[in-house]
Order: sequence, then structure tokens, then C-alpha cells
Amino acid sequence: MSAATSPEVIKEPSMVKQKEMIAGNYDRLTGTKESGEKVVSTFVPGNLNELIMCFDMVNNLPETNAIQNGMRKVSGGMIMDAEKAGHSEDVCTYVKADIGMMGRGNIAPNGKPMPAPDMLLLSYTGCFTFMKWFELLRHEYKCPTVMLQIPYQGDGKITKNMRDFVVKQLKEEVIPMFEKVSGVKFDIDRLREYLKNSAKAEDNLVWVLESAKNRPSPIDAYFGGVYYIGPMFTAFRGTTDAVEYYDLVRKEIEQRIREGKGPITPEGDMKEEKYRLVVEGPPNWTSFREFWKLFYDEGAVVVASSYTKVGGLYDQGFRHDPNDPLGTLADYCLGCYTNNNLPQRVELLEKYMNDYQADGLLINSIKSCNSFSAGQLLMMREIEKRTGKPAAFIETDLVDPRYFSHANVKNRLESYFQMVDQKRSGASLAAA
Amino acid sequence: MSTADIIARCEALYEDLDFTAARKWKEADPSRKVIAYMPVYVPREIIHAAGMLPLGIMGGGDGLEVIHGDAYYQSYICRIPRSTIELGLSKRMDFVDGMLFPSICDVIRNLSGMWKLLFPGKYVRYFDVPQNYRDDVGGSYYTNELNELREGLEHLSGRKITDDALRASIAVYNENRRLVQAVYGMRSREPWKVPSSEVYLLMRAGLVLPVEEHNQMLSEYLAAAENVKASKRDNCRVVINGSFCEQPPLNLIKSIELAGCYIVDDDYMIVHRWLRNPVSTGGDPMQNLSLAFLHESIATAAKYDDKEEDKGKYLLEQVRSNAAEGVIFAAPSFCDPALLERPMLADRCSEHNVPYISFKYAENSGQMQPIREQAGTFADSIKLWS
Repeated sequence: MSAATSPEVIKEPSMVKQKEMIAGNYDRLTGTKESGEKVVSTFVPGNLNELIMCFDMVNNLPETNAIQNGMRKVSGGMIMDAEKAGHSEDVCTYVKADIGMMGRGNIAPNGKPMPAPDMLLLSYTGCFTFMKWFELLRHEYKCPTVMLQIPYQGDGKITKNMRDFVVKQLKEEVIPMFEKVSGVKFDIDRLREYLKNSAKAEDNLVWVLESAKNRPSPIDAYFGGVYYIGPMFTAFRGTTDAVEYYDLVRKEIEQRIREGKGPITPEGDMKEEKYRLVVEGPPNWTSFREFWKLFYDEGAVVVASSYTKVGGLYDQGFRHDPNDPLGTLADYCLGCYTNNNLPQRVELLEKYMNDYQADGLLINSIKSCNSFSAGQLLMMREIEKRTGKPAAFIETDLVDPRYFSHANVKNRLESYFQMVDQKRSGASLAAA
Repeated sequence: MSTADIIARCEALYEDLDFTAARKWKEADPSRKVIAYMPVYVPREIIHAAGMLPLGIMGGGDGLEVIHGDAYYQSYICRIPRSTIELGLSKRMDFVDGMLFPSICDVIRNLSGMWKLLFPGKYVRYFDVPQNYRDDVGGSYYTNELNELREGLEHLSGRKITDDALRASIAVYNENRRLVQAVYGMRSREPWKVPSSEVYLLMRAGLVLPVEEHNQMLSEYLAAAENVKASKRDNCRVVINGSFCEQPPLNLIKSIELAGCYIVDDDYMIVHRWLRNPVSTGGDPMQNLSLAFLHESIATAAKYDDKEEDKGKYLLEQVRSNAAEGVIFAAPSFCDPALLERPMLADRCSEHNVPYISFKYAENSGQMQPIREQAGTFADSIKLWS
């Protein structure tokens, strides 16, 4: 049975709350003409939501717009529009979905047109394409644009020079631009208050993600994980709404653990946990439900994923620190997953494999995203070598439906699960 | 020495994927070290001042059979990282002591980490550059990055890189920049005497030879080219854009020329011409290199244009100053910087009535007929209707 024909998608109270939060933000965004609020567009990794709130501006994230369009299955036409307008078939489909969306009137999920941004905050964090993407948007909107360059952790560490550079840009470039566009004076104490909220919510997010160490895992840390990271990575970090959301979701997961339940899926509670996986790479959005179903139908649960770290490696100890407001923003941006070098990424995945007692690693390699994808085949070999656990590789795309082949992915996953079974039986025989 | 003799040597260097010239340079003195770098820009002056040889790696071109490299990349990733890994794994680069990966795109960035995993113990540095061009913001950051590179090379060689050595190296590279510009200038003035395929090979030689030797070669070529007897053809003058990283096969450049185009400017191997003016040889050399990067760099897709009005300015200036009649956007398949930049540059060309065409290539492209037809039609259309 396909997800499209399932009678009703099961939702928990936290999901309802998140849906309301997202809808509220889209209403706020599409209502700026009436409210007079200013809009800033920015990216998920290196998203400075607390700072944006200090200037009473509304946060618009083109990546999440592309995801929304992908999940509503309208991104394909937008991408083709952009390609017809001269954008290469080889480049990121988030960019093309965004540009195509513009050409179709920039209609938000609530059916109302999005306003043009008053400012572009180019948080150049862990992805080269971000830089060109916002040059392309600036080319269309001709609005003020400020770049926040986040140096890459080439040597696997954050140096004082990198941190100082980011803080200096915040002081000398980013904050003055916000003040100019918004007309609101920067208040560092206001920022501190938002950062306190962030840290509270981050504690609960980490608790939720780490709950997957239980057997059975009460969450799916990839497909379900994208819901758990939603408020934290987008327009809500630093708000009391986000604090309440993460309180709520934690209580729900605590209850699931007490009841010995597995993750909730769109078709209800997952019954049997047969395979525990670590997943590297973003999901496919155009066939998200069908993709997920291929896992839960086989009893496969994702216990840890790297995608849920693109907006911050909170589970590795980072928390926003109200005592060092600008320094902590720098640390946050510098520490995002795709700003880590490949050896760091391999070490993290290896750690997840061990800490979450995973049966294997699955890489979902995304055509659009070289930041994630370039080097993943080597990462796969390294993990196999270091853990002795089987790894598999599938290829899809973010929001281009042309690159999701259900049959191919299904075949690959079925073979992979057989491989895990064989490895297990081999291990049992050896133990006997 | 004739241009043909010089170019024959350059061609031999270009085809030598064992880098014999660089190996010989290193073997001449056991204390010598070789630091390889990828496109698009590294401050070679610092490597030179350390007494080391900077060695430009532009992938394997169409002369290398990639066996291992393909196993590391998905089909939708460009060719240059595959052939570079092939060069590494096949021991063709086993004499190289360190490798620099400049900030250009996510693929080359991630290759730096792959290199660390594949070749543990080698000096590997991701060379980050500022996209903020203020002296007190991006400049301070970059100066510190340069100093980290300096310290890394000092550690590798076991000897200090003095300011005097840096100033001397800057002077040698200033001379190199002057001669390179002279070759480009001569080609722009008399492209029938200085074919682009020759200019290309001359510049490729500069990636593998010591700079002093390259300077000598450029001087000799300039002198010899004056005596070349060649007739001017009714060709169309074009600027090539988008080929700054993975390089086209030499045959592609020849095909464009054979199709009736004089290439009067390009962005092949822009490390040679990244800095448009000489770097100051007085005062603090690291500061000078930093300021030169901030204020004298050419524009390219790997850089951020901090003002919308600057987008395409450099390309239009290339067109104007070289009296070009059109632009050929020739980018490697799957090259994010070039392909994302292209629509913006194409818009600028349209706004200024500069005709253009676009195509993609790979370093191992073999079929040139479509390129030749496209470039030929473009040249004809300019000659007939422009």
C-alpha cells in the first residue's frame, strides 16, 4: 500500500504544534505588506535566527520553501522552468526550485504570494552553492545583501583566527546591515535572552536524538528526525514556542520509552525493530513518504543521521551560550556538520555506529549536494573498514523528482537488508 | 630557438603525467621539497621562498586512464578530482611532499579531506581565502591564514622563511606575471602569430617548471614569436569563460581556433594572472600578498562579488580591452561555480549586446565535432550579422 492511499496520517500533539508554528510563520511572511515587518532570507546551516529576531525581522529560508514544494510535489515543474531559463541541469535543485518558484509568483504553502526579501543574509556555511545562490537572488531582487563567511574546518578544528573573523564580520558587517534595513538598534541583552531559550530547547533536542540509543528506538532519527530538527533549524530557535515544542516532544518520547514503543510513522507505530541504521546525507523530499515506507515496511529504523546535524552538532556538546553572544554564534556556524572536514565526518559516523549499536551505514547520496556527496564513497569504505559493519549506497536527489527511482532504491535496500542478515548470521555462527 | 622548439618542449611537459621535470628538480638536492596545488589560486611566492617547488596539478586531462579514481566518485561529479586521485594512487605524485587545495568549490574542498585519509602523513592544507575584501576584516583573516601556511611549510622544511626571501620571491613572480601578461597581450594584438594552443602550453609549462626557468622560456617565446610569419585570418575574436578549474583537452582549444575563432582572452590556469598588478616588494611581504589578493585579484566564479553592479564587470572589461566580438562560456560538466555563475554573466552580456554561446566539456572529452560546429556557427553568425 502506498503512502498516497493510506487513509490517515497519524500525528502526535507535537506534530500538530509544529504544523501550527510553520503555518504561523508563513502567514507572518505573507502578511508583511499589512504588518510592515521586514523580511530577511537566509540559509539553514549557519541560520542566525536569534540575531534576526533582535531586529524584529521575519526569517525566510529558501531551502525550506524548496522542501515544502518538493513534498507537495510541485518542485519538478519549477526546476524545469529554471532550466528553460538557462540554469544548468547539473546544478543544485534547491536553487532551481527557488528560482522557478519566483517565476510562478512565489506562492507560499498558504496560497498567498511571498514578499520580496528586504535583505539577504548570505551565511556562507559549509556549502559553496550558497554563495552563488544568493548572488542569483540578489541579481533578481536587487536588495541589500550581506555575506557572513564561515571558514571551513580544513584541519578539523576551529582556530582563533576563524572565530575572530566571524565575530568581526558580525560586528562590522552583519549587525550594521540589519540595523540599517530594519531601523532597529541592536540590543545584546535581547540576544542573550533568545540564546537562553535556544540552549533550553537544544538540551531537549539532544535528549530526543539520543533516545534512539534505546532498544527499540522510540524515534526514527532521519525521517522522523527531520520533524524533530524542524523548529530548531528554521525560524523558531530562540523562541518560547520552540522551548515549548521541545518540552512537548520530549514528553511524548518519554512516554514511548515507558511503553516500549518504536518510532511513530505516517502509518502508526512501527511494530518490530529489525535493523538499526546510521544514515549519511539528506533525504529525498519529493517521495519522502514512499522513501520512508521502504524502511519501516522492512523493520528498519534510523538511529542516527548526519542530516540532522546540518544545523548544528548539538549532540556533540555545543550549546548557544548567552554569556558570549557573538562568539557563540560564530562557534555555532563554524561547527555545522558540512563545515567539518571529511575525517571529522567519518569519525562522527563511526561514533554513531558504535554509540547507537547500529547494524550498518546507509548513504543516501544526493545529486544536487556536492557538499555532502563528494567523498561519500570513501567515507563508506572507511566506516566499513573501521566498524566491520556493512554499508550501502543509494542515489536520489533533494527536490528533483526525476532522480528518485523507487524501484532502484527498493532493490538496493532489500539487497542491503539481506546483507545485514547474512553478516549477522555469519557473526552468530562464528560465536557458536 | 623557434616558437616551435619551445612549444615542443612545453607539449612534452604537458603530456608527462609522471612529472619528470619536477622529479628531477627534487632529485638534484635531497633537501628539496615539492608542494602541489590545485586550481585556482595559491600564493606560490610563499612556497618558493621556502626553497620548494610549487607544482600545479590540473587533473589528468585526456591522456590518463582513470581506473581507481572513478571508484571514489558518483557519476554526477566532475572529472578533475577523479583523475587527481588517480595521479595520487598510481604513485605519479609519490615525490610530492605536500598538497594545497584552494577554496574553489565543495568538491575540491572535500578532496582535501579525502587526501588526508588516503595519504596520511603528507602535508595537506585546505587553503581558505576571504570573500570579504575589507583590509581590517577579510584582510586580517587572510594575513593570518598566510602566516599559518608559512609556518606549515617551515615545519615541513625545517627552516625559517625570512621576509627577505619572501620579498625576493615576490619579485620573481612579479616578473613572471609581467611576462605572462606580455604573452597574453601579444596574442590579443596578433592572434595569428600566437595561437591559443601555444599560449596554453606555455602556461601549462609554468605549472611544473621552476619560475625562473618559466620566465626564461616566456622571454624566449616572446622574442621568437616576433619573427613568426603568419597571415591574419578573418576570424572572430572571442573570450573564453568558465574553464578556470578542470581544463579542456588541448584539442578543444585547437577546435575552437580551427572553427574560425581567435581566443583573445581566457581563464585557463588563472593562477598565473590572478593578481593583475605587481605585488609590492617593500615592507611586510605577507601584508603585501594579502592586500594584493583583496584588491588586485581578477574576478572569477569562485569569488563572491560583494556588489551586484560588479557582476560581469571583469568579463565585459576583457571583451572591451581585447576588442572581442563574443564570449564562449565553456565550463566543465558539473562545475558548480562556473555553471551557477553563467546565467548572471550571460545576462550581463545580453545587456551589453555581447553575443555568446555556451557548452560543457570534460577534461577527457574526445568528440570535438559538435564543439567545432557550434563555435564555427557562432563565428559565422558574428561575421555575418553582428
